[in-house]
This record gives sequence, structure tokens and C-alpha cells, in this order.
Amino acid sequence: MKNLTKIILILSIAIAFIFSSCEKSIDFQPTTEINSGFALTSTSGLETAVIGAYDRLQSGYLFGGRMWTSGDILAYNVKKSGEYALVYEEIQMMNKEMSPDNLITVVMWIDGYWAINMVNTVIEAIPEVKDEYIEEAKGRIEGECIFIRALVNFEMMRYFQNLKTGDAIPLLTSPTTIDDKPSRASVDGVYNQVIADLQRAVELLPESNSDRATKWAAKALLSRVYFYRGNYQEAANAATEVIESNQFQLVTDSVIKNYRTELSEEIIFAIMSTVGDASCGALNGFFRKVSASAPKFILSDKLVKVFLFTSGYTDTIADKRYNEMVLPIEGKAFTTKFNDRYMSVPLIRLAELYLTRGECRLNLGDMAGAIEDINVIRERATIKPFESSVNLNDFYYERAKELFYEGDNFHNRRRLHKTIKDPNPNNDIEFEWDDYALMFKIPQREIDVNPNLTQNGP
Amino acid sequence: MIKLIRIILITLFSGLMFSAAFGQTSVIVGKITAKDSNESLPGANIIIQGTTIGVSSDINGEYELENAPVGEQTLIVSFLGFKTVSEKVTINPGEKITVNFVLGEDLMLLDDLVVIGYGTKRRKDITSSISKIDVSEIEEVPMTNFEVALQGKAAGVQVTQDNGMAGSPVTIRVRGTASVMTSSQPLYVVDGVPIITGNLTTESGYCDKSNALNLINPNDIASIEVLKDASAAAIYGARGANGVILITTKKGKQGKTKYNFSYSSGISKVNHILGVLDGQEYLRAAKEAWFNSDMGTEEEFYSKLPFGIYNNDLSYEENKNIIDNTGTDWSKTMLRTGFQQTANLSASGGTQNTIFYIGGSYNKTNGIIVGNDFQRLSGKINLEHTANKRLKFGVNLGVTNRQYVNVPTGWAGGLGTAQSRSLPIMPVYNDDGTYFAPKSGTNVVADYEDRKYKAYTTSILGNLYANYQIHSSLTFRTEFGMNNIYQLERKYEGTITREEANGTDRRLTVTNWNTNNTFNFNKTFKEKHNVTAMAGMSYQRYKQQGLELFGAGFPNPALENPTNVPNDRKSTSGWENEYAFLSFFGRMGYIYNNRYIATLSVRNDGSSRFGTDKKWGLFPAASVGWILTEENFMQNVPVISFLKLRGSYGKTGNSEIPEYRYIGVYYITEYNGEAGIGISRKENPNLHWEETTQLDIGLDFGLLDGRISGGFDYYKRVSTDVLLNRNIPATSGFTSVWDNIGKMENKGFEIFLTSHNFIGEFSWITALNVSRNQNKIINLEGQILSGGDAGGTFGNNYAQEGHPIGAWRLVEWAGVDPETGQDLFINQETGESTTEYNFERDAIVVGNPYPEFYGGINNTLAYKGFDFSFYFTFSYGNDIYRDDGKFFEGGNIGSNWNQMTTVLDAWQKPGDITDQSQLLWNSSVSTYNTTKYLDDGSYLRLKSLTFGYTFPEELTRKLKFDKIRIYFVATNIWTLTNYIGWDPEVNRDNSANVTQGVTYLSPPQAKTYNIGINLIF
Repeated sequence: MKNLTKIILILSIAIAFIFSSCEKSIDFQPTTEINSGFALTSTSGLETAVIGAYDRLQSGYLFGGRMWTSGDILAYNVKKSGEYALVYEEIQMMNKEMSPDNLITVVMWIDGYWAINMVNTVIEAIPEVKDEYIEEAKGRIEGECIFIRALVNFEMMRYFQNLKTGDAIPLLTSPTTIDDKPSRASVDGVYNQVIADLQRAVELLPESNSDRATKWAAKALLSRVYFYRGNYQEAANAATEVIESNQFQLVTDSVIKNYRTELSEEIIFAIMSTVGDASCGALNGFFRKVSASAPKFILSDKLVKVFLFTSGYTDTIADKRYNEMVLPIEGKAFTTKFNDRYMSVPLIRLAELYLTRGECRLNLGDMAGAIEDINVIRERATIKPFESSVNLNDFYYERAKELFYEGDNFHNRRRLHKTIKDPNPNNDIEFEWDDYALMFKIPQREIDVNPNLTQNGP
Repeated sequence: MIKLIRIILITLFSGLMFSAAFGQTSVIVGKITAKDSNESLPGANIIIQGTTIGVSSDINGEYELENAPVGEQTLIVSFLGFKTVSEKVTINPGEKITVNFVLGEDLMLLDDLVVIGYGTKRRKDITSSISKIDVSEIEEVPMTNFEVALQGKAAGVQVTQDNGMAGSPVTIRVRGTASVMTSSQPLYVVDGVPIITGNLTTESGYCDKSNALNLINPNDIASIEVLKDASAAAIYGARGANGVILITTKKGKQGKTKYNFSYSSGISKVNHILGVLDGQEYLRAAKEAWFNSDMGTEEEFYSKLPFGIYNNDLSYEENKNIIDNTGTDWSKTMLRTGFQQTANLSASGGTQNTIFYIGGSYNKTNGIIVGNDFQRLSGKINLEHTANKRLKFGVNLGVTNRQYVNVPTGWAGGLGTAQSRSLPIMPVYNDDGTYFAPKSGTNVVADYEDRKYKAYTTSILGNLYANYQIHSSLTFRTEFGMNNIYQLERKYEGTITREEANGTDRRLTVTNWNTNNTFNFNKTFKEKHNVTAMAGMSYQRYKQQGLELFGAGFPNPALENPTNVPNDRKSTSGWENEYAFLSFFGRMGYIYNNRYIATLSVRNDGSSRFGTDKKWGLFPAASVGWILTEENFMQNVPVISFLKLRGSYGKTGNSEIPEYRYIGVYYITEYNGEAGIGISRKENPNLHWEETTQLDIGLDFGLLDGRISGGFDYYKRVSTDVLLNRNIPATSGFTSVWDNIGKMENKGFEIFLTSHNFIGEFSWITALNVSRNQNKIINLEGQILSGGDAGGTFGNNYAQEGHPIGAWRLVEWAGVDPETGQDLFINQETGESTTEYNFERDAIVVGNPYPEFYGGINNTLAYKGFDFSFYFTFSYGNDIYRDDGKFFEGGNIGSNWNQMTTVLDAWQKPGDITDQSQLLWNSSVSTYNTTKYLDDGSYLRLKSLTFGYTFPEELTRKLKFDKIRIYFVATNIWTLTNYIGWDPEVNRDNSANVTQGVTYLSPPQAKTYNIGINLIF
């Protein structure tokens, strides 16, 4: 009996000592998440983190939808279908009365910077990884990271930049801590960084990369950036390189093939969907027109008219794009472009490069080249090709049709300093291209916590 | 070795026997009776001071003490609940003397032992603020959760039963809410084991979640103590900031084995039904809105009714005739008369060496809401064995099996939908017997039939312990406890209401073990200096693992288990988290001459929730007391029989944040078929303990020999480094991190009184407690946190500086313009009323979800075998925001919501004075958040009423029983309130501190009527 007593006593004291000496008893690691201290210490860690960055680009506030559609709402390219209610934030955009709390703009900012931070974190971690796989992979990994950084910086800047003062968005090239309070970089500064990133990405990325960023994707995006920067020569050169690489061909049979899960031969870079993991949920919500699904938006009358009156024909609508992707029902023009619930979102297609190069050639005085490029697109759309001359307006309309609802038209109008006019004749409303009403506000929550930021407009 | 001890022991023992036999002794006999009732007291202890010679009184209160040594001796008689008396007697050799004792009742129970955390203390010597709850009614009042027994019983403890569903959660606040985003529920400790609390399911939409606390059988509880101030709670250091609820389960008692059987059963009914429109009224109001908004003709009105109410195959007249004559009371389809029954059987007793308590219990509660069934089967064994003079060990073990069938309520469906989106002009069934519009989400009967949800939960709660007396004044105690929960949930949603059936199978395993190891020292030096000391350590480790399988595309409707679906239609998800606390603590007490008392305690806590340099927190506390009535100068004031002043100050902590918040982590995701990871949280290595310092000043008193007793407490709690989400620049990719930035204050007072109005044959006791708590947020670094920001699920309440937590931001409603019938709001810039609703400009901070005063009044009367008690609880000055009111009162009439009957008073023509604006089909104004829907939630409620009869002893004895009692109990039967919703005792979301006092289609409370019998034999 006494033995038992002793044993209990000794055991208890031993337990007490074990615990007192062992900090490990209160130190655990999560098992369904990864401690950031260990996440990026191997090549496979870096690889998966890059996948994580692509994954965020699927966000409905980025390329999953609103990065494209916000411009079309602002530019009166859509109108309410009347079949599905708009949310408050969309109504604000329709009315050009975006508040600094507008959730669409706020979440775009958050998601965009999340992606930028993610890739910056990977870039910073690359030199720390010393395993046997890193040498082969590190160039491509860095290339993909800076490609994503350039893409997000460029597209976000187009919405948030202050066209009057030249203030762009905070430019981040290294991971931030929770207390960093960056100020806005200049538009020039962001362009320079984006161009530098893409030039380096072209060098680092391989020619094919299993549906992810490639050398050609970087080059094609570079062409777009130069084009919007007004550097026509470089834009045309970059476009030519991609076109002449013969890696991509225009779809000839059915243009709707560009909006499917599987990438068509025309697509240079897309945000991928797989069955069950859609990139295009927000786009579906805005536009998808099938029997049971009511979209929020239909084509504006103005956009329908562009299709009607710029085909070169007068009797019928010959445009393949219209015939395949616009569905008029009882006076409403729905689009079926985004009907596939698992559509991979085509961010850059070969068609855009032809239009970009053609317009650049026109600006550089090469009329024949310009006509040749625009006709590639018109002929594919089975509308009448231009014969002897073409002008900037022709290119403007062709881009509006070819890239409708693909995130181009709003920015293109502002690039051309076109005004944005309410098509309703009862409303005598017209905005200058650089009107504050068309700029996204810097999120108020951001200004509240970062005194270094300035707001767009008064 | 053992043999040797045995030989020595036997020798010693025989020696004593021998000496006793040959010494000069005598016999003392007598009877012990109670002073006021003259009843005999069986089981009282009689002992000769300074010896171990003693005896207990028998069933008739008589005793016979043999071998009393001759000479002058002091006899001491003690009995629980009575004052100890002593008497000097002179014993002559060989004489038999008679000494009778009359014991006066100790009305204040000053010698009663109170559990204080790692020990017990005499009530008289306590200098901190501890409420001991009267648990006697637990056995009789029907309850699935023991926390209900706390309601109105303890000053400073606010208890809200969230709703009337069986097993519904109970919100408890001890002295207010001390935190913004971390849990404000107290720590629960059962027999030394910190138990699993909170919600056990991730299933959303079920208002009464799978509440872990109802796994405890209320009938096993012997006592509940609530540690309220810092001095009491600081021994639980890091866990003590929200107060600590200590539960001790029933133990056996030496003596004949006693069997206790009880059974009770009864019904429950909804206590108040919200007045919504019937079919005729709905049509009248809806048409009124239709025409007011110029929506079209009456024919168009009918033809545009939703969910196929208008049958296009029939003519307009036929349709109108059917619709006009359809009237479904949807709420009724979801309500029923509930039924509950409880049976308990226990045996307890013991020998000199071993005491035991063994009990089994069954509870079945079918709630007032159709489909809400709760069943609990539990068993309990408590054993304690005294091995020798030094060593005692034992086990407390409870096992519970619970089966829980649940239905959605509130916003998620069921009764919530029945009162809102289910229109009274819809029939339940079509003519052919099929469900009407089953896929519309508004036919709640179809929804109910088509959905099955069940949770099967097993809980094991218990500990093993050993007590070793190292020295007469020093003991060591070690405990090893665990509380494990295993749960399987099954859900199936069929094809009546959806295109494709789906099923979920969810498994949860929670393992939670702990050990406590303490040394206790207690010695009185020179009769005047009593020193107690305790030192110890404890460790607790908690791990939760969950796995969920979801499946759709069942090959056959008979197969409801998701393992049966094709592999590509299955998806799984899982979670896991783990925490641990390692603690070292000590407490010292000193009492000088029974009147000056000081206690000092300290606890050093380490938590896995914080980073390397911030893991440890130090939580000291001190308290002092002065029993004035022990002083000579107070002896001249006979009216004051007891008076103690006390004060305490100390620090406690709160670490109830989710796990791993100090480290940055990556989540696991997928893109284009490849596995990916992404940052889900930024690290914050500075994250540390939230601290609450509390000052408490109080007094306890007794007047007229304890006939009137009570006390008063004033306290001030200041919480600093409050853990909450701090907004950060989103250029980091994140909008917030957990950080220690807030400061909050709770101050208030508590009054508690007990009066023995009559004692003796007719007794009447009144107990009253009133508490006041004022909460104010002092610092949030300028942030205004909405419910959503602060961990809630919706956001009309806010946390903001200078206001109580959960105060609302609302536009002030100024009535209805008698000329135009429009709602008016106050423009805060001009002070004038306007029809324009501008939240940014006009929102004001208003209301308080927490009451100004709350408490309870309990009366217990007894005469001969009859007893009668009635007990009220009240809450005064709290507000309730009817988040559904804005849709119910005209707002959603054009969006196919049924409306409250108040819309029948809508404005019709200029000059009408009414609170209901003109009904409009497409009114958005009525759905805005305004003060119109902020109501006074004060109430006074007859919480329970008990009438019982205990059969007379002679009869009971004849039937070979020790006690036979029958009783009737009714609960919630009467409520006084101005609140117009279902019930003023309501809580939509009990998890978040900010979002209290809000209702959104919340289920109502139930009233119950029960009868029962209790047999002891």
C-alpha cells in the first residue's frame, strides 16, 4: 500500500517537472494550413504558391468578372436586363456615383494586392531554396511571378489611376508587412515597372507552360501595354513576334470556341477553369442566358448598333460574332458569350494582337499593313473587308465588337480621349474621358488606415 | 513492508482498545433537536473536544456515546445547516448522564463549504465575490441545459435562453461583456476538468446549434459556484476573465445505501404567437399596396402572384375564387404541443472506506417546433476510496449519449419562413395531394418532409484523482481528467424540394484532457493565526478533428448515405485544431483571530495561442476581509449577527481567439487541376493576452440572527489589450490582423438579499437579487466595427468608442406624415424631419442590447408537507432590434412576404394618425434600418412555479420509503412586456459579442407544465 502511495507521489511530481521543463507542450503547428515559415522552403512549395497566385486571379473581382465588366458598366455598354436585380454597388457604377466604399472597387483592390503580395513573397523566397530542383525551376517561377505582377498592376492601374494628376496605385515589388503604408506611385512609374517586368518575363518564361504564363503571353501582354502607353512601334513589334511565332491560329469555324473550358488555338493566355472550379462565376452571373438563368445585363442598344452598322453590309447582320453570341429575345439582346459555366477566361487572344498591330501601323503611316490586319479579323467575322483605306474609328469599332465584354472598350475609349455619353436621349449626360466620375475611388478603408494615400477627386 | 505496517497498526489499535477498556469511562446519552421545528436531527456529529471519540445521532436524533473519559469535557455538536454548539460536562466514573442539544438553524450557512477552484473554503472566510447557486430546483424544473438553472439566481450573472427549442444555447455573461471579438462566455469546470463548450456543428441554419453543454445531465449536479471577481477567478488566470462556473457532481455519503428515483413528464407550448396576416387580411393589404403604387389592375395583381399561386390553366374568376378562399396558417404547421419526460435513478452510500454515487438518467424532449427532438441517456459513477489514513483516491465518470433531431429555423427556413415568405394564400397541398410549389422554398411543410438532420453525440467526462496526506497540515492532490466528444451528423435533402438530392456525413472528434497537481497546506498557529497555502500546476490539451463527406447524385432515393454516390460526386473537407494551456499557480491565505482575512493568489499561464515570446502571462490577485461581528465592540449590537467587509483587486486574462493566430499561414487550394497554396493570414508575433483588471468592494451581512441576510458588491472591470481585428492597409493583401488594441470597461453593482420571513412549521423564504452593469468601449483606435467585422454574421449593431458594445447605428424615425402617409426621418444636420433616408448623414448611435438592471425574485413557502415556490426573473432597460420588422411592417409586402397585423392600420388618407406608413408595392423606404424597429426589451417573467407535497413520515415509513414527494412545475407561464415580437428573451446569434439583442424570425420561447414524483428508499 505504501508503495502505491509513493508511486503516485513520484509520478505526479515527475509529471509536474516534465511539464515545467517543456515549452513544447504548448507549441503546436496547424495541420490543415501551412505555417508561412515553412511554406516556401522547397521548390515544390514555390511551385504551389505560384498556383495559388493564379488561383486568386479567378476571383470574381479580378479576371473572374468585374475586372472586365466594370468598364462596360461605366461605359454604358450594358443595360439592365430587368430580370435579375442589380446590387447597390452595380447601381452606383451604372449611375457613375461610385462611393469610396463601393464593394466592387474595394475587393478588387484587396484581391489584386493579395496576388501581387503572393508573387512578391515567392520572388523573395527563391534565393532561400537550396534543393536539387531549384536550378531548373527558378527562372520560370520568377517569370510567372513577375508576369502576374505586371498583369495585375496594369489592369488595376487602369481603373484606379488619377488621369488628372498622374497618380497611379502603390507599386509594390517586395512583400509588405502588416504595418507598411505605401503611397501612390506615378502612372509613369507603374508603366515602367510593368514593362520592365514583362521584358524580363519574356526572357525567363518558356514557350509552352501547360496553360500558364509563357514567353508569348508575356510578349502579347507587353504589346497591349505598349499600345496603351502610346508606344506604337514597340507594340507592333511585340505583336508581330507573337503572330509570326505560329504558335497561335485564329479560330475559323465557330468563334464561340474561344469561350470554352478547353483553350482554342487562338488563346495566348487565359485564366483556366476546370469542371467544378470555375473562373467565370461572376461573368455567368452578369450575362449567362439559358432557359432558367436570368442575367443581370443585356447589350446596350449602342453596342447592338455598332454590330449593325459597321459590317459593311446593309441588308442583314452578317457578323459571325453577333450571330453566334448575341441572342435577341423580345427586344432584349442577350449575349451567350459567357454561357459556359466552366469557361476559361481568355485574357489575351491572337485577334487582339492583329487589331493592336493594325492600329499601330495606321498610326505609324503603314496603311496597307493596317488594312491587312483589320481584314484578318473582319474576314474571320464574315463581314466586308476594307479595300483602300481604313481610319482610327474603324479600328475603334472593330475592337469594340471583337473584344466586347472582354475588358477593353472602356479603357480604349479613354485611351482615345472619347467622351462617355449616356445613350438615353432623355438624360443629357456626357463625361469627359478623364472625368473623376469614371475613376475608381481609392477605398475609404484604405485611406483610413494609410494616411499616405490620396483620393481621386475632391 | 505492508505486513510490517499492518502488524504495527494492529498492535497500536489493540493497544488503544486495551487502554480504553481499562480506563475510567462513562456513558453519555441524549437527543438532538432543531430549535424552531422541534424536529429530531438524525446524522448530527457529537464529538468530545480534543479526542477522536465521537458518534452520530440515529434516525430519531438520539445518540449514545460510550467510553467517555471522566473529568471535565467539552462536547461539540455539529450538523450541516445548523450552528455548531458546544457544552461543558463533568463526567463521573461509571455514570450515565443525559445531555440534550437544541441546535439553532444556521440561516446564513456560514460554515458551509464553498468550492473556490483547487480547494474549498468556509463561506464565512471568503473575501472574494462568489455566488453559490441553489441547485435544488434542477431536479424538478424541466430543462435540457443546466445553465437554465442559473437564470435569475445569482447577482451579476446574466442568463438568456436564446430560444425555446429543445437544447437551445444559453448566453451567460458574468458582470457584462469584457471583450469585443473573443468569447465572453465563462469558463466551465466540472469536478476540476475544464469542459468543452460551445457549438459542435458547422451546419448552418439551425438556430439551436449542437450545444456541448447539454451533454451534462443536470441531475448529476450537486453544486454550482460562480467565481465573479478577480480574486476568485484569478486562480484560473488566463481563463478567468469572463468568470468561472465550477460544477461539482454528486458524491456518496457514508451510511446505508439510498436509492433515489424521480420521474417527471409534461407538455410544452409556444408562449406567444406573432400576429401575422391571414389570407383575407393579406390580400387586402397586398392589394392596397398594389393599387397605391399604381401597379395595375386587380386582375394583374392576381395573375402576378408568385410560386404558381395563379393557375394559368384556369380562368381569372376561378383563380380569384380559389385564392380568396385559401387561408393557411403556416406558423401553425411548424408548431406543436411539445412533450418532455425525465427519469432518474441513483444509488448512493458507502462504508467507512468507500463512498459511491451511481446514477442513470434519461431525458426526452420533443420541442414546440415540429421536428425538434432531443434525447439524452447518461450514466454517472463517482467513487472514492480511503485506502489508509493518508491516501484517498477516486473516480468521477459520466458518459452521455445524445440524439438530436433538428430543423432549420430563423432565416434558414422552417418556422422562420412560415411566418414570412410562406404566404397565407398558398395552400400546403395541391388537390391531388402533392405539395404545392415544393421547390419554391416557401412550402415549409414540404421542406420539413424532405430534409432529415440528426446528430448522434457521445461524451465522456470524468477524472481520476488521488489525495495524499503528507503531514497533518499538508496534502497533495493529483487529478487526471478528460472530456472527449464524438459526434456523427447525418443530413439528407431529397428531391421533393430540389432538383437533385444531396447528403452530408460529418464526423467530429474532440479530445480534451487535463491534469491538476496541487499541494494544500492548512494550519492554525497559537489558535489565532490560520495559514492556508496552495501551490500547483495544471495542463490542458484540446484537439478537435472534423471530417465531412458531401455527396450528390444518389443512384436511388432509398440510399441516403453519401458514401453511396458515385466517386466524382463526392467531396470531402476536414479541419483540425489544437490548443494547450500550461499553468503554475499558488494561493496563500491568512486569517487572524477569525476576523482579519487576507488572500493572495498568482497564476502563470502559458498558451499555445501566442508566439514564442508572448506565450506566458502572469495573473495576480489579492483580497482582504474584515469580519466586524467578531470584534468586541460589535457584540453590543445584537441586531447585527454578521458583518463582513471585503475588497479585492486583481488581473485575469482572456485568450479565447481561434488557434494559430500569431503565425502567418497558407491555405491549400487548387487551380486548373493542380494543388496550390496561398497566404491566408499574415503573422503577428506581438499577439498576446487580453487582460482584465477588476476591483471589487463588497460586504456581507446578517441581521436578526441571520433571518435577513445579504450583501452588496461594487465592481469595476477594465479590459485592456483587447484582442480584435485591427484594420490594416489592404496593400498587404489583407484587411485586418488580430491585435491587442482595444480597451473596454464594465462597472456595476449587485445586491442580494435573503429573508426568512417565517421559520418553523410554516416557513417562507424570499430571495432577491438585482444587478446593474454598464459597459463602455473606451478605445478601438477609432475603428467602428460592425457585427460582420467583429465576428458576427450580420451588422446592425456596432462596436464603437464611447458607447456600450452592440449599440446600434440607426436613422431616427419620426413617425408617419399624416398628410402624405410617408415615413419621416430626422435630418441630424437641421434637426427637421424629412422623407429622405440618408444613413451617412443621419445615423445616430442608439440603444443598448444589455439591460440596465436584471435579476430575480424567488419565494419558497412550506407548511407541513406542502411547499410552494414561485420565481420571477426580470430584465430592464435593454433594447431589441427587430431586424425582421423592417420587412414585416410594409417593407416587403411587394416582395411576397407576409406582414404583421400592424399593417392593417396603414395610412389611408390625409389626416390619418398612424405608425404605419402607406403601404406601397415597391417601397424601399420601409426596409431601411431605423429606430422604428428598435424596441424596449424589458420584461418581468414568472420563470417557474412549483407546487409540491411530501408525504408524512409515518405513511412513508409504512410504505418502506424514506421520502415520497409529488410536484407540479410550470415555467414561463406569465410575462409582462411591451415588446411586440415573439418573445423578449431572444438572441439571434449568441456567438458574437457585438450582435446581441437582435431578432430575425427567431424561434419563440416555450412554456411548460410538468408533474413529477420523487422517491427515496
